[in-house]
Amino acid sequence: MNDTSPHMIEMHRIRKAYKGLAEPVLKDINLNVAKGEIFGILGPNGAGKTTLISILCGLREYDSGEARIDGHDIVKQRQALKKLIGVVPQEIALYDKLSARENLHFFGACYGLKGSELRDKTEDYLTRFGLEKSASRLIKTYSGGMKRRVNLIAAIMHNPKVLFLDEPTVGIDVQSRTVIVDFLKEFNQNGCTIFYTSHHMKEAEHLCTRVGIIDNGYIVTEGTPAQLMQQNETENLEDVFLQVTGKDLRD
Amino acid sequence: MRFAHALKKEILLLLRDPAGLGILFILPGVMVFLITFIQDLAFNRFNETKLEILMADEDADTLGVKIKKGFDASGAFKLVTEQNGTPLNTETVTDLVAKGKYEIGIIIPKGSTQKIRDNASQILASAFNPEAKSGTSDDTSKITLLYDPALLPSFKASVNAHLDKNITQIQSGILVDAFSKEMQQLVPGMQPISLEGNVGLEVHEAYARKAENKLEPNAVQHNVPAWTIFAMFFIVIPLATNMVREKDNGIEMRLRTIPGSYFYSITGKMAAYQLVCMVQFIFMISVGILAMPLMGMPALAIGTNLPELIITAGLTALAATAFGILVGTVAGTHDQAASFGSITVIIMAAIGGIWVPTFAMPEVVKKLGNLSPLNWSLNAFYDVFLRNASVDVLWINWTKLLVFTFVLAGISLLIKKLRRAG
Repeated sequence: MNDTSPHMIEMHRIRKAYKGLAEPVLKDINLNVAKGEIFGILGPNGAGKTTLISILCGLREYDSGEARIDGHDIVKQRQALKKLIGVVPQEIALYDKLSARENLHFFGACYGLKGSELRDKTEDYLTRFGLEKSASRLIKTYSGGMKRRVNLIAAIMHNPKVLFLDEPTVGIDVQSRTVIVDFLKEFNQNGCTIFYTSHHMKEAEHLCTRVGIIDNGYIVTEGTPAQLMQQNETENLEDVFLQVTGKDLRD
Repeated sequence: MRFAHALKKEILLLLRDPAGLGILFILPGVMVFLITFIQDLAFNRFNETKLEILMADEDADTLGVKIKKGFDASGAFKLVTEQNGTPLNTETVTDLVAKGKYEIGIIIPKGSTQKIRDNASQILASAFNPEAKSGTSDDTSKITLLYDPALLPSFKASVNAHLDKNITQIQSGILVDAFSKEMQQLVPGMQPISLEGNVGLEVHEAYARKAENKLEPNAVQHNVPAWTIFAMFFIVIPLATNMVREKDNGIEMRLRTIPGSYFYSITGKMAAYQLVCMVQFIFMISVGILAMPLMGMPALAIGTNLPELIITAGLTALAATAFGILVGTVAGTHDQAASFGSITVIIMAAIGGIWVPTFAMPEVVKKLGNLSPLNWSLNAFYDVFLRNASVDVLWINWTKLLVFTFVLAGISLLIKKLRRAG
């Protein structure tokens, strides 16, 4: 792996175990995501998707292996890495007693934005996501879809090179999902590499340029949605998923 | 800029949490007012209202008269010897105290004075004639003290001490009278010896303090700093629960992915809560200075060492904030943070002398109390409020508070680091 790599994300033999668990969550992860891709990581509950994203975002340390983002070692160059990435957590990571505008001002300022740039970007995104009229309302009064939209904006205020999204559309209506998915496509076309997890197979099929399926600590298959459907002789990604991971319930 | 936004965010969150503000301001404000008022009332009752004591004087001689005179002269007690114009007897006194209508009753048995006189005569006789029989325990007169079971032990001890002092004086007086009579028989023309006059010895009470210190110890001077510290440490609850909420809803995770923002968020949080503590301090001091006199209590006197007072408050706020950060870091749930935070603060307050002075505690608790940051802060406040102390005295408790802050902040950072590795 080197700095001139065409890959934005590179993971080589990543292993991660938690104390108290019999088996490592990630056993031997090898994964490359090209610059400008929208890569979807799919897997059953407990497969290690969130751990994988946490490692890539520098929130967790891995036990062995090597990982880089845009050529930066994610352990040794953590601070440089943080400037490149944006993270949309699975939870609504917002202050519910602040308004959408106040939340975005705070997180934008955290990314180093200030003055008119901070104000203008906040207003632009609020308008872009249809939240301008409710921008002064407290987040706790928002619907699930509105919260998800603000949750996304808070991660992109600084124009990250890589955006990590952990189930960004869970529990929201079709309208909000469409706004988010359309925006992610547009954001990707402007040069942002997207790394995304979801349980929503149709959404992944529609959004991702490539997907990888993780199970039992390994990436068991990866490719474009079309390739995977062809390889597994199925008509949709959900059938691919079931064929690869089986129908057994997971804890 | 990032710090300013973090500070603004914390202040907005605090202002939009009326329950949290209630815990931080209204609760301690009411507590300091109530406790000081009750203590002041009890103090006044003891010193001004006078505690009424029933007395059945079955003796009807010198002893009863002298005991009544002694209690009346004390200024703290009023002896009641009759009810509805009828002199009290053993049965009525026992009945009234048993019913809880009066807290204390004294019963002087019949012939008590005569027994003392007889004993005094025997003591003198044995002094002049060694062959003579001296007084035995059978000749002792027993005064009975009846107490209401609900009476505070401190009142009981006070009455006991007063009666003991009285009886010693009365016995000495009767003995001197008897001696005087004997001497008058031996030396014709000699005047009777009297103990009524002052022989030139009296007790003067004063507080040990520097000459320039004019601060007067009272319930207000003791309670306001104590409850101010308690209130300041209660920020542990909103601070820790706020941190747990950030962990629960992914905000902490988001902040840790933004370069440097977690540091700004924590320092912004500390600064906001530090500010809240200082506002609490000003609020509580204002209650002491402005509101207490409205209820007839003395106003809080803050002395002349204002910089020392502000530094003490600031260091207390730092220690409280650091403790809140640690609780917020360790706690896994909102309930854990709230219950662990409040229980530890209550324990540290109890052993630290916030409610009961440490000198009145058992030795083991006293030693434990020395480890409580609330105790260090309270001692520092008392040094400023009651002893008008300056840096040369205060530095010890200031250092303890500062070290406590750094140690707790260090532990919090270490826990964060270990968790990321986990």
